[in-house]
Amino acid sequence: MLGQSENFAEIISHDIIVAPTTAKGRSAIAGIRISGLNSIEFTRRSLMLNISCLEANTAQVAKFNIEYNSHLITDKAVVIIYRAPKSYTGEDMVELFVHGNPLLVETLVEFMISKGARLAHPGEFTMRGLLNGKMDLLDAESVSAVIEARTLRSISAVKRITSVNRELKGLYEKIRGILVEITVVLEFPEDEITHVDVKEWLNKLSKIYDYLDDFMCRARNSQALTTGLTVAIAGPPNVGKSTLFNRIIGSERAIVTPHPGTTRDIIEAIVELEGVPVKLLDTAGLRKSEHPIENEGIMRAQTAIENADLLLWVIDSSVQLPVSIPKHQNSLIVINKADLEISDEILKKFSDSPKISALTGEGLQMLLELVSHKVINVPLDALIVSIRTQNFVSKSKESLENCIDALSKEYVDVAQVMLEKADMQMSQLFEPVGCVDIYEEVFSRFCVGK
Amino acid sequence: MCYIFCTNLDAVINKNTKFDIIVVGGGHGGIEAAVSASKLGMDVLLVTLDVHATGRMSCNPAIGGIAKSRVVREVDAMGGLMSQAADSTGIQFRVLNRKKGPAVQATRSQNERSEYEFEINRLLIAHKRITIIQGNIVEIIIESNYIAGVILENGDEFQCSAVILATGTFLGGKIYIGHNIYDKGRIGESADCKLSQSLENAGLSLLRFKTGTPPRILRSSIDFSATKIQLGEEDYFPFSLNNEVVLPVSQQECCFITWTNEKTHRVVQENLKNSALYGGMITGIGPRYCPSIETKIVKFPGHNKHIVFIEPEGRESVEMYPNGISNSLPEEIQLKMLHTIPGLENAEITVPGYAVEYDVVEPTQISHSLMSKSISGLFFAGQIMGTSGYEEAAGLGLLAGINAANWICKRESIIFTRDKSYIGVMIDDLVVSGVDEPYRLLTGRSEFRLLLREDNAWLSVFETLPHDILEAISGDRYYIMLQWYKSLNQVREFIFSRSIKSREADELGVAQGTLLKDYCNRPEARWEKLSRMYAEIACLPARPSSTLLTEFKYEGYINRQLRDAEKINKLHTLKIPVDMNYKEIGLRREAVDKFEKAQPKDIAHASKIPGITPSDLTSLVSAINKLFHMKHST
Repeated sequence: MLGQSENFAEIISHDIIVAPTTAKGRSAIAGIRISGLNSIEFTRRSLMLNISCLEANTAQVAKFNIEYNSHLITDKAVVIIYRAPKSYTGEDMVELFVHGNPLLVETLVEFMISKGARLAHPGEFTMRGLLNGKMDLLDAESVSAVIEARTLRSISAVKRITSVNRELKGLYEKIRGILVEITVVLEFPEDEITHVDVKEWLNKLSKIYDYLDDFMCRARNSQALTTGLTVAIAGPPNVGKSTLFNRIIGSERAIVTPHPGTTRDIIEAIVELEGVPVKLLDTAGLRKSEHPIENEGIMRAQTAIENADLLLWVIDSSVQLPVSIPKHQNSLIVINKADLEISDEILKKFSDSPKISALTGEGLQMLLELVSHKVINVPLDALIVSIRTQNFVSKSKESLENCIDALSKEYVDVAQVMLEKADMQMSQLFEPVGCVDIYEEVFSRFCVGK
Repeated sequence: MCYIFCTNLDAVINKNTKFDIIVVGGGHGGIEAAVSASKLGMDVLLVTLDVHATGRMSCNPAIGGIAKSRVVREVDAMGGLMSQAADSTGIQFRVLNRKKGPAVQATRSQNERSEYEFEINRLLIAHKRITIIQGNIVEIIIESNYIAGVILENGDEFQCSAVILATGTFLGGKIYIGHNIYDKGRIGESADCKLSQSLENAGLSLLRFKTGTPPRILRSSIDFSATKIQLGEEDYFPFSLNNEVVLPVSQQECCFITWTNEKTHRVVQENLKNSALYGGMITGIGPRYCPSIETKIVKFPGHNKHIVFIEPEGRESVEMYPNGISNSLPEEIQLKMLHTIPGLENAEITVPGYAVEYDVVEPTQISHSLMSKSISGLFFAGQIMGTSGYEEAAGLGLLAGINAANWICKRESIIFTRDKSYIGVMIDDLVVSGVDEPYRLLTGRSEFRLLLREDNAWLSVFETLPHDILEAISGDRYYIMLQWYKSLNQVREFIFSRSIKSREADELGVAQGTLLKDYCNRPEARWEKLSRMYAEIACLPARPSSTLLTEFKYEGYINRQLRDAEKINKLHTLKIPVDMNYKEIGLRREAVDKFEKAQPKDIAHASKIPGITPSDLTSLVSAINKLFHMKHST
């Protein structure tokens, strides 16, 4: 997470960093953030901002005035001042909102760099917040997950993690508390401060274990929300796969011609179905071909079909029986060209299959509902957590399991070793640098020692 | 004025002989150092401030305890004196944590204070290569970064190849009783050691630590009926492996338990300004795990009582030792405080409690062999390295003695890895991470504590030390270990190969055909049953049996720690070149400073330096790899 040590060295210093906070592109408003020691004064001076009030948390409109590459630039900006430690980074900080011209934003950032600021590393504002105790690692991760989340439902799952953070932290503190108790009992057996209550420890630890277990299930369910699902549209040539693809994504991405074998390479687009990001693939029609490029396309289509979470096998109303469909764990047969006549034989054979017309849009809504039903079974309480978090929670869970096992055999010494491991793994989620001395807590909570 | 126990009187009087090693300090560390070095053929001069006080227990009259008992057994396996003296002068034995698992189980003895000292001296003077004189060393002589000798306060000079400093609380020692301050390292003795200036001149940086001890009480003034009795136990293994005799409970002395109360705390509260510790006189850092009564009361205002163990100083001794109320209050306040405690209402003090402040050499300046990184031939042991405790001192002293001898004889140093010995863990902690309070061993200091048990201390030592050295220092004990080692392997093999027959199955409560090994893995496995049923197992003596049974019971856990240890030990093979230029490998300033100061030998050591991050290590490893490839491509 820290990257190279040089970056880390810069990050832990308090020098002034600057970066745009909104995506590059033309927009009404664009943001720039400046953070670091004396960053407020630095911004005011370098941009010659005529702000009257240096009070924190006030928004004010100010004029800036810079000369850059022999151009004089004057415009207005909304300026918000934050004073340490009450800011996102925990340092003095300024946020500027200027007109959303990419050139203007770039010029302003470059100008401030020429005056002594440094371009922030990706995630550095968050990193500083982390190092200044404004948030713990889990919070920081969910910030980046919010930024990266693709759909509304994903964002709510990420937001849900914030409350889970508190719960995880609570569990971590509970683990730590029991570890301290066991440690006192083992290291200072004569001080008669706490008595050995294996049953009570077991009870508490089992509850923590159950929670972590549930957490891991919910985290696993959520994979669909972050990495997304893949739906491959496939079938014989010229059944209207690309027309269907274009219809679903709502634009003419795929080239549509009356000639079989038009689609060669795989075409992808991300669509949102019930708040879940879905990757839609248009593939080459499967048939025997002499053409080397088309054959390559067919091979790619076959691979895509194998890896897809759902296969939409498109046939048209003119299809000849029997229909051969590639083997797939999760597939749906779609009868296209329902605007044309469909034979009774096909209607009977594929009575359950959706009949649509990609050309007119008929039956499309139904199809999408079916697709959603077939691929999206993400529970509403799914959690988006990073692989890193899942990794530490799952390791901690495993150590906890060993601890409980040892404790039930009354191997208290082993149990303590295992609990120490569980504690150490959980601590990785909350302590950015180094680990905490367990004895610090032992000696502050208990008066032990002769 | 010079008391001498020696065979080469000439050497001392004429100062014409060069000693191999001069040991400074006659406490638990200095004595083990002198003895182990002399067994390796060294001529040793032991210089002590008071020849009548060698081997004295400054504080509580007890040996062993959590983690420390394993150290006593490690010392024992290497031929140390502490285990023997603790066994023969023990008046009570207890096994702590008996039911909480073998890795935390610990034997502790209460000892006859005066006899312990006597016994240690009896064992010490039997070594003819050791010359003991009384004197105060004020200077170490250094010639081009090599130690060359020492100078005494009276101007006498002695030459040597190596010096082992084991000055305990005497280096710049100051005793505090209320507002009274005395320049000495222990009450009742004459002086402090004035070597600090010389060490600083040699470029060593010093720290100031503090410790304390409670008042001693006249036994006849205590009302024992108001206290709770604590009895000894007879189901224990003596500390020394060549001692099979346990002391029956009927012949053991009792300890007594009482508690402080709110009255006690009020007396202390009201007199904090008169306490040397809280009156601002003491600046040294005290141990957290051994707090004074003042500290307990200040830090835990919510506690309305603290436990006090009243321990016997000896069978016939007129004194008792109230463990748990060390302090630096004026004597009359100490008395007033004692009188508030049940059983001590009429207590009379024989020796007041006091705090002692002393100098410590910052241990990060010392290498794993216990030799100074900057001055060749200068070794350290015990409190001067920042430790506390008799056992810690003895362990370090013993290793310093061996390694000083090895250095002189150009043999490789003995360095225990962290999975083999608590002495090794302690040295590694001290020299790599440094200390910010007196260092005491606790089981939690070792990440591999399931491997560091009382029952297998002998085995770890046996498997680590070269056998010629072990034979030289352990004598008889070496042959016992050799015998145990052989039979242990035979029995282990038997257990692995044997399956349980039908007539045995019922008695063991397992199915016929089960491997004997699988029975041994179970928590309910009992060795008594096995040795009753199989002659092949019965032949193994009790102690190696307990080692083997624990090995089987904890097999899975032990194997896991062995694998972890192997990973760490692999990091030890990533050696850092001595001429590594930390400035040029893209490290941040702080890391450069830390690496330059600590001079880590390998990546395992580098990774334990406080404040070093994973990314620092990544840079370091990639720099080492680059250097390696550059060397091998040219």
